[in-house]
Amino acid sequence: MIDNVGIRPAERLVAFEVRSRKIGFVVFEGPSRLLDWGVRDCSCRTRRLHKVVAKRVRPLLLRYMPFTVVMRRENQYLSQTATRFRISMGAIKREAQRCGVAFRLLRPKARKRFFAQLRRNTKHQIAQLIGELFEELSWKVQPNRKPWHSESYNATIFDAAATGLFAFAKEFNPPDASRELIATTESFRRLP
Amino acid sequence: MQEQILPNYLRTYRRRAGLSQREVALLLGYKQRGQTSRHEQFKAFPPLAVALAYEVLYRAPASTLFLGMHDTVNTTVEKRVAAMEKDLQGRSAKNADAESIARKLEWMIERREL
Repeated sequence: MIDNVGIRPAERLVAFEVRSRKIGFVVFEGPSRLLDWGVRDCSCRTRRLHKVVAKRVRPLLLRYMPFTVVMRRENQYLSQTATRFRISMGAIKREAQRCGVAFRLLRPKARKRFFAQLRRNTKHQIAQLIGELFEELSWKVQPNRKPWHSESYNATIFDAAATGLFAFAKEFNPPDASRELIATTESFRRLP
Repeated sequence: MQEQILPNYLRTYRRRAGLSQREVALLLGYKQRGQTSRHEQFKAFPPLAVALAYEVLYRAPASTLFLGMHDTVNTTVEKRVAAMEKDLQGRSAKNADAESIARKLEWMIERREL
């Protein structure tokens, strides 16, 4: 049974992970509970991208009414992929503002540092940690892959979940965030 | 945006189970997934039998599955009980049904302590 007790609705958060042709999302209610997760397809022409992204994102925000939307900040704005990223990010930001939800960008380096404190340095290790924390996602963790293998379709979900967890850790307990996460790992595992 | 408890957590439980809306609909006795979708999107409330079916399906109490709805109903009923209690306390004890009023007030105190 999922434990609803003690969760304040104000702790609801949506984390997005934007790729050039898809958006991964995870909805948290408190740091230890996932409400929803998935990947939304945004494979369309760049000039229509903002409309498509808005169409995919709006129902999530209206349905879950989160207190904040978080995303990873990307620094490279040079390639075509980066253009699509910028457009998607802008569309998400606009939708968040339209729905009256706070929008926050998190630094990828800070997120990396946070997980490095937990001795999870690679994306695969982070995904494994998330799979351990949330059993509902464990079956989606991609087995260790070789460099010439493609990334799994679900990888964006784990990246979004990592951003969400980092946001919670940063929000609620900045100096001891990693220790707090490890301490609560036990309570995660108690969930069936 | 004002944050509030979600009316229900049916979608979360379904995703955890790895079931599709169509599969849940079949398990509940619907022929198509439309109703399940409407329940999950808070567009329709399930009838009592279906709510109990959800309870059986996910092995979770209906008050947990429909947490927001339960919260709303709880607040409303408690307000009504408090209003009735106030009304009963304001009535004259010399009235013919004084015993009945006393019993009701007693019950209200008992239920508050439960």
